[in-house]
Amino acid sequence: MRTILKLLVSLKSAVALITFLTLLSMLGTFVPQNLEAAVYLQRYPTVGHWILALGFDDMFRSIIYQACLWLLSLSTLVCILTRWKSTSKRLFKRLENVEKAEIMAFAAGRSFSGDLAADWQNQYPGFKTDDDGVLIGLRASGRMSLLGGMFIHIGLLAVLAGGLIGVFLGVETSLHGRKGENVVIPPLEALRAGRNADRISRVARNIRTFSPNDPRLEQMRQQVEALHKKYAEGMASPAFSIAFDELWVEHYENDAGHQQGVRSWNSRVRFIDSESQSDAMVIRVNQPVSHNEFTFYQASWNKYYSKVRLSVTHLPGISGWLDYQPTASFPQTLELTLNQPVKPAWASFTFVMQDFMPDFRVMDGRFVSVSSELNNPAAMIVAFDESEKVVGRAWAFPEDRAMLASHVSSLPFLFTFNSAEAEFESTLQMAHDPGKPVVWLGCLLFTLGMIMSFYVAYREDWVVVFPDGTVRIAIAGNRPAHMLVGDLDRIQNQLTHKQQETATNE
Amino acid sequence: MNETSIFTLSMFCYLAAFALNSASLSLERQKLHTYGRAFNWLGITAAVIALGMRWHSAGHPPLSNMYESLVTLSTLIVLVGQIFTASQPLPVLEAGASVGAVLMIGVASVFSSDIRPLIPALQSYWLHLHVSLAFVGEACFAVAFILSYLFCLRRILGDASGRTDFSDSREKLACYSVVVGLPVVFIGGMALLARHLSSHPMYVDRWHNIVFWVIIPSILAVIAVAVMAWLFRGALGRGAERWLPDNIILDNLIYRAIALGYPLFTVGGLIFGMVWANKAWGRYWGWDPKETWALITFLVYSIYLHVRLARGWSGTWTACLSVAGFIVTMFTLFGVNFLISSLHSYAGS
Repeated sequence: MRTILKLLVSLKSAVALITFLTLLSMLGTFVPQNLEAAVYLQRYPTVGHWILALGFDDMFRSIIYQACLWLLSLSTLVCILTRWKSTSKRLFKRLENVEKAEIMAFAAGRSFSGDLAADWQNQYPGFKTDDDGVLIGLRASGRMSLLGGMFIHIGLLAVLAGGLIGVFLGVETSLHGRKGENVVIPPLEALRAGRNADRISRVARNIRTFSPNDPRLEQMRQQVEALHKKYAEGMASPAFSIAFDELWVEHYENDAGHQQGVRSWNSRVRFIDSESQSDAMVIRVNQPVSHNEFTFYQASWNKYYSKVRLSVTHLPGISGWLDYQPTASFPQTLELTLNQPVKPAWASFTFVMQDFMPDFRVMDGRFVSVSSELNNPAAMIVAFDESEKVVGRAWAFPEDRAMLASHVSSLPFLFTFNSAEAEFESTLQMAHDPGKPVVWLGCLLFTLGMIMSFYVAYREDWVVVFPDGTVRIAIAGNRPAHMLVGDLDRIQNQLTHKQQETATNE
Repeated sequence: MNETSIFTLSMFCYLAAFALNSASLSLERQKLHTYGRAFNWLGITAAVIALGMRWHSAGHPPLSNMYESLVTLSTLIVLVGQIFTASQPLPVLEAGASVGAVLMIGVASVFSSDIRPLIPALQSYWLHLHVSLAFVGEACFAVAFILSYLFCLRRILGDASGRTDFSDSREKLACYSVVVGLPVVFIGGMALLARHLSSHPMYVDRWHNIVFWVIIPSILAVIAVAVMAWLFRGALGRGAERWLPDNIILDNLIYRAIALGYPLFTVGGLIFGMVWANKAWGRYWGWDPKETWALITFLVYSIYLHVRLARGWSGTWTACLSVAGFIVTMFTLFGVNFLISSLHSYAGS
């Protein structure tokens, strides 16, 4: 026990711990975090299994990292307790505990002989006389600085404690809502159950990658099932719900009135409890809103297009459709909603828009959308016959690229993109963290501690008067000795009233 | 005169200050040092005017992208250097701060100087508090770094007769690694950055600026210094004693710069960052790479302060820690933006 305590109080072990935490943190930023086990094994064939075995795939929640944080907390606590004794002695009993040898050793000091002014003792609030009859006087300022280290370490401990409370009792999740939707929020316990189920499932997946028959897997499966059940019960009897009344985007505009990027994403919501509902509130980035135990933040924003307007013309000469005779005149207008079948009067097929890409590119032979802006739209349309059999596929592009469509179409129609209606989906971050006040208190103490330690000058002015009349003056504190030496002349003059005498003589 | 021309003017002022401060050392003319200081103040004034103009036209402080950050930080480095030497003139530190600022402006020329409106995540008064205070802290770390470099150089050059008093070969190796290794690492790092940017369509027109404004001048300067050192190798010890303060003074100055910067960086970079993250993203800490590297910077300087204050370490090893701290600080500023994607990725544009 004594050895452990000694180890914890030792500065060497504290520095070693901080160094180790630093190295682990660096590693945690270079190794991609929270991917599936198979990805690590594929990406890092030689060290992948080590990354997983040591938990470095989730570094900051790994046992090693958490153990370091616990040890650092313990070390800090022991440091606070052991240091308090010496700090309080220095704060309240400095004069009582000082030895003249200590004062003689201060770098900023000097000895002189001569008469002291009659009232010199008035300049020093505290005096003591030691066994040899030596008179020692102390004038101290900036004592607050001595508490700086204490405040810093207590602050650090509070931040770590607050973080720990957040890990165990806090909940952080995101929810998505579209205009007019009502999203239910389960009670806190159910959300914690959902979070725990996700964590256990991930660990189970990793274990399964290495040993599919591990006996722990069954136990984990049961735990996850129980937690999912709890979550489902919470969803069935929610704590409250959020109604997404309005979602809109504000843009910057240049002098010509053109849009220049997003100024703000806005969600107007109402919180609906079983018996009452709140007034409408607007959530924006940097402007969160609180309700019950949760705070809601505007986290991200999606723009999507479910309704697309196309114009259709007959496209003769398509292989397999050479005999096809349209029954109506063209062009025709067609309005499609994503994944909803439409059967126009002018065709014997049912059309379904299966995909819509607002800003498509061809990458590695595949069509992908690179943004949610309508820069280069493309819609994929599939046609079904009456027996719901696929009869062909076609792509719709804007008019200037419409002819591209003829190369990738297996239908006797040319679809040209006219317009699309943008709709929004808002993603809110929902957080409950009872540890936050403790963290903020810790930050405040830490800041005060640093101000006290680094910016408040602590200073001790000592005077030692020996029975033979020799006087030793010395200055100590938290500033370098060479900065203090300059004051020795002033102190000597004060003690001997030299300046006054000089002035009187003049 | 637009703000880019004023930034260029301030860069030339820093170059003039560097030349005058260096000349004041070798010619032992105090007047040249006074002119050098004046040129540094002129450069700072010009840069502050340009930053003010940019703030006025953009409607937000010039801290929202890499170009603005680098120009602001370069100004702060020279400013902190000037304030630091106000009562105790140290021409070699002032010259070092000028060089640091010029190199930063050179790197800034790679990034787009276009004024763009703030993205929603940055529309908060915490942008002013978090970034500006962190930058002041980083500027203090930069000053500590320059002093640490000078400390190691002083150790290598020894006393007037050129005698060195390394305690062991590890200390000697550490000093040589800092003095010789750092310029090589810097030039190598810049070359890698240039290579990385050249393959990025966003920098296709500007990546070569880093070659002409940073890499080539740095290589020429290193060669020139090496040649001069070889030619005047007999007088190096005497020169060091004349130009550089005593190691104890340098060591104290390093500590003072870090003691000034550490609280500012901790409050500005970490605590204000936590408060802002909590307001914007709903959590005060998310182990995002930028956050983690800010924590790493804090930890490295915490190690420095612990070993210096509690264990009484001083000299080469604490100077090396200060150098390591600044390398980590620079990685937090640049490396994370370029090498690791994070929630702070907008800062890299």
